[in-house]
Amino acid sequence: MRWFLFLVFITLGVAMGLIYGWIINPAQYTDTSPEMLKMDYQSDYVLMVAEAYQVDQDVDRAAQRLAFLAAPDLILRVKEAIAFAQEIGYHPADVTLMNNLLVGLEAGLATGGVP
Amino acid sequence: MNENRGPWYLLTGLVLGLLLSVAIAWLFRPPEFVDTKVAPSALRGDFKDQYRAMIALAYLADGDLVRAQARLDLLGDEDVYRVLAEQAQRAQAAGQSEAHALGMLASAINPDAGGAPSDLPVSSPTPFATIVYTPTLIIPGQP
Repeated sequence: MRWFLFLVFITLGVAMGLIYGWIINPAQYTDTSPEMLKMDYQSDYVLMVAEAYQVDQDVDRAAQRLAFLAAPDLILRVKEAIAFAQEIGYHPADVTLMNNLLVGLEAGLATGGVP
Repeated sequence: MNENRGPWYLLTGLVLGLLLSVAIAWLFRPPEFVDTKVAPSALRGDFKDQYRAMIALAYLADGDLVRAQARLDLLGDEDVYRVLAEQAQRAQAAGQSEAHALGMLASAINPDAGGAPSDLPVSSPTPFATIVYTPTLIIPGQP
């Protein structure tokens, strides 16, 4: 009976510890890479690139800036960002900027200008 | 077994279980259970610099200081102006095109400063091509 109660309390301790370690005070990552950013931050980064692109119209530079996100397919990442932006209700002007960036990237890709 | 030792063995079991599971929880986190996606404040220093430069370039494009400040807040810098001014100086020393945007944003955030402080250290920026992804796990309570 004593061993049974002992094991029950160990199990209880394990459960309490997992709740504490995973939910109440979980470990946090630092020194991470951009691909670990949440989608909303990645989308905002794409918007920032689109804002800069709107001014300089330099598609190669925009592609270099998007490379920060370390996405294997930049155009797909921009499309995902646009879809996310529309889903959570970005201002239409911002979505337009992102669409302009997408058009520029696709045009650059067609002419071999975008890596 | 001596039945007169009281309930202390139960407390021992509870503590053993707690210690074991906290170690497991912090060292072996199941990815399906924990959202490993992070905020910009968790980025490594050189990535933060790139993110900050992009904020400045976007500010230069749209002139929206409120939006730029909200974005800078995501990086969790204690002294936003100083960090911007330092990065502007480093970028200028390296001849990077973002230097102007960083300086403009720094000036907009702290218009009384009258430009970047001259006593700030100037160091060489990390080239983007040498980026190595090495995330570090921080366990709460550990120094």
